[in-house]
Formats: sequence, structure tokens, C-alpha cells
Amino acid sequence: MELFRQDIESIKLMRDRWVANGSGREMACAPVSWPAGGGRQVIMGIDTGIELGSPSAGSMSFMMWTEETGVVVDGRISIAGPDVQDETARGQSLPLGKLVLVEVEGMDAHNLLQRQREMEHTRYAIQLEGYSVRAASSMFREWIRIHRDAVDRGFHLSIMGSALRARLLNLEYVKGVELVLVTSPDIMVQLQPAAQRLRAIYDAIYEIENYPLHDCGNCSNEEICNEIEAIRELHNAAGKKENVI
Amino acid sequence: MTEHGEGGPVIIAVCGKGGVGKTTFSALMARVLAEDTSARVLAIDADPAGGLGFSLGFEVPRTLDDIRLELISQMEEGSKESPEDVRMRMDYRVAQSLAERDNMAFMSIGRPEGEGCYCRVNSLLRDILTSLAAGFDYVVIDGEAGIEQVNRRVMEGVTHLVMVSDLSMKGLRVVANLKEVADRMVHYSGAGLIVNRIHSGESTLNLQVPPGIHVIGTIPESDTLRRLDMDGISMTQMPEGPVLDQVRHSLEKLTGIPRRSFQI
Repeated sequence: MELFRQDIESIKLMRDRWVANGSGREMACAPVSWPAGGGRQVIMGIDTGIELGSPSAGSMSFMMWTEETGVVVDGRISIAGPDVQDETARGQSLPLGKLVLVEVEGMDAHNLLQRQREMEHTRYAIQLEGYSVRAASSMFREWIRIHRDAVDRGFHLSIMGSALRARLLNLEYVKGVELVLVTSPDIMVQLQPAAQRLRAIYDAIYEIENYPLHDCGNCSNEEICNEIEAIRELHNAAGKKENVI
Repeated sequence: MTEHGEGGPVIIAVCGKGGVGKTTFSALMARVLAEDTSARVLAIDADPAGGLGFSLGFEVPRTLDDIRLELISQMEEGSKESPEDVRMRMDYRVAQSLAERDNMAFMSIGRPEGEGCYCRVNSLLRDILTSLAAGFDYVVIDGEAGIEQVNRRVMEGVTHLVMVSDLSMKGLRVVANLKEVADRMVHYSGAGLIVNRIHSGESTLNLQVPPGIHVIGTIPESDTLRRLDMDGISMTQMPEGPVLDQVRHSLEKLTGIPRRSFQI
């Protein structure tokens, strides 16, 4: 079952282009050796070394999965824009694009909604000292503050990425995790069309979850539903389940 | 958290009859607490009249009531977001509604609830506020009238209660009621009465303080304070003098934290 094949392809194409033209770079996840902390701890502006994805700077955070092997490069993190340790990032409030590509197995119309939710919830569970995250998955937003002490002690985005990957790999159906992060305002603009399409897919999923028996003839998600077969499968499965109950 | 609030933040609720100077006192107290730059202070305006932000020079981006209404409207539309997703979205919104300046943050609760019972929503927001407060050393809540409103609309876990009154019998009666309700509802570590706006020549010696209530401070009437208030200037601009001395003194008596901690 594939919901995000086209989206993953387009994100990967952009990623390759950024790396090729020098606006992006890639690195491997390192084992997390950062002390644990409270994920939703309060880090005030005065204590913040770098802020990512604040409501004023903008953020978009999406998770996409595929069952196709070889698409997701497990453990790879690509960053387009400054990382925490870059001089240009210090003391800045930067936008955040966070695209999590996940290789899964055994996804079907009956377990998809539950699994989707489980994967989404991993972002709430990242507990790193000096790292505070406010995430609203239904708004596709993520707002991160990193304490200046953590910046001084060498925090960088692959630490966050590694922690997220470790969380996701704890789910038995997750086989690989790749992260594409964007912190450059100019490059964020390039993500807009992809973000718009991803929102449409998620809106369709939420619609199916909330109103499994809704009328297809009168639905704002008709376009995306006609395009992606897996959404129709999902809708049919949800409708059948509701009728049985 | 720093060493100021060992084992959790000091959460001070300021209550009293309307018009006795609760908001001004709350603003001065928040200002004094924030003078220690290592402390992190959260000021919460829980009075629907909503003057604390103004007194501290904060713009209010969004009130907690706005967030509450957003959540209620989504519930009424039949949203089936998972409880965790709802909680996180509200947590995001609450963080978004915090105004910050240096080591002080500010939040406004907004209007009291409208019609209908939305206990789950209120309880969720109270939990989020309580969890937010845990990240600060001091929380100052400018209360509506009594501790029961603070408990219901803001957070439980108030550690200290400050009751403000002028010299009037009416003000003191309200204080007696406040204390009685607080004793029934809250396990607080300390409580005290601030007698506000004492004009020169007036004395508190014969003041009929209700039994069981300790006067922790007497704030003199101040032309400077009144002028700042009239001109809409933040209490952070209040110059040193007897008023700020009394605020520091009363904080020491209330919390047991040495007075030097409240001085620059």
C-alpha cells in the first residue's frame, strides 16, 4: 500500500539537487549520547541558543512512509540551511522544514490509521536535555528551542534526528528512517508545493478517520482521492468497518 | 529550574476585593522577582478585567480563553483527533500565547467561561498550564477574586496566597472569606495580607485583621505609583523607594526566601 510514493520521490529529488548544488549536505545518524531531558520543558527566549520553526519564522513538519525497499536511506540526515553549530545560526530564529521518510512493512487499510498515529506520536517523545519541542501534528508544525548551554556543549540537528530515528525503529513495522531538514528561508519556499499536496493527503486521511461513511459525491478531498488509490482503499475499509459496527 | 524554587515553582496567587490594587501589587511583585536575572518568572493575568499585561508592559497575543474556544469549537464540529494530538496542539497554542521579555513571561487567561460545561477542555488547559508553570521559578497569578476561581480557571497547586485589601471593613471582610475558602480548598505553604494604599497619618494599629491572617506588608499610598498608572507606564519603571521596599519585605515574609534574593 502506498500513499506517499510521488511525494517521497519529489522530496528526494529536491534533496539531491540541494546536495548537488551545495545548498544542502548530508550526514549519518550518530548513536545518541546526549543526556535525556523533558521534551516540553520551557526554554525562554533569553535562554535560547537557536530557535527553529517558531510561529513567526514558519514550520512544516511531515512524515511520509513507503513499503518499497531501497527508497529510504536509513540513517541519512540531509540539512539544507544552517545547522545549530553554524556561526550564522547562533542566536537566530530560523524556519524549520522537517520531512521524515520512513520505510515500513505490512501496512494495510486496516492498520494504517493506527500506525500513522503511532509514528506521528514519536515526535512528542523526544527527550533531550536543552531541547524543547512544541509540535502540533494536525497543524503540521513543529517549534523547537535549543538552550544556549546545549548549543555550547555541541548540540546539532543529527542528535535530534538520531533520537527520532531510534524512537521510530522501536515500532516493529518500521525498517528505516531518513530525515530531510530545511532551515533556510529561501529553500523553505521550494517546499511549499510538496507541503500543499501532503496537507491534502493528510486531510483526506483525517476525513476518512472522522467520517468513514461520508458522501464521496460531496467531498473536498475528491481530487486527491481520485489520484491515490490507497486513499480509496482506506476509505472503503473504514466504511465497511463502520457498517459492521 | 534554578535554586529559587526547590522542588517546584513558587506559585503565588494574589486575590482580594475589586479595586484594592491587586493588579498593581501583582505587577510590582513580578517585577521584583524578575530583578534576579537567574530566576524565571511567569506572570498570569487571571482577572477578566485584564490589566496585568498593561501594568507589566506586555502585549497580549492570544488569551487562554481564545485557545479554549478554539478547542470547544473543534469538539462541537465533531473532530476525533486523538487525545494526545489535542493535548499537543493545545500545548503548542499555549506556548504561542506566551509573551516574553528577558526573564519574564506573561499569559492572559481572558474572559471567564461562557455557557455550557466543558470540564474536559478546562481540565486539559489546567494541566498544560501546570506543566508550563513547572518550568519557571516563580509564578504570579493576578486572581479574579478568590482562590476557587484560580483553581478552576488557571491551575491547582498554588503554593502561596496573597490577599490584598485597603483599610476598609469591606475589603477586610472579603479577605476573611477568601481565607476561609482557601483553607478548605488549597494546601498552601504560606498566606498573608497586604494592606494597600495607606495614606500618611493613617495607621494599621487598630486594623481589625480577621483571625488567622498575618499582615505581611503595608504599602504606602504613592504619588509616583499613581502617576505611572495614570500615564499607562509599566510598573517595571517604578523607581526604588518605600513601595518596592515593602514588596520585597512582604515577599520575604510570605515565602521565607531571604530578602536579598529579591534585590538587584
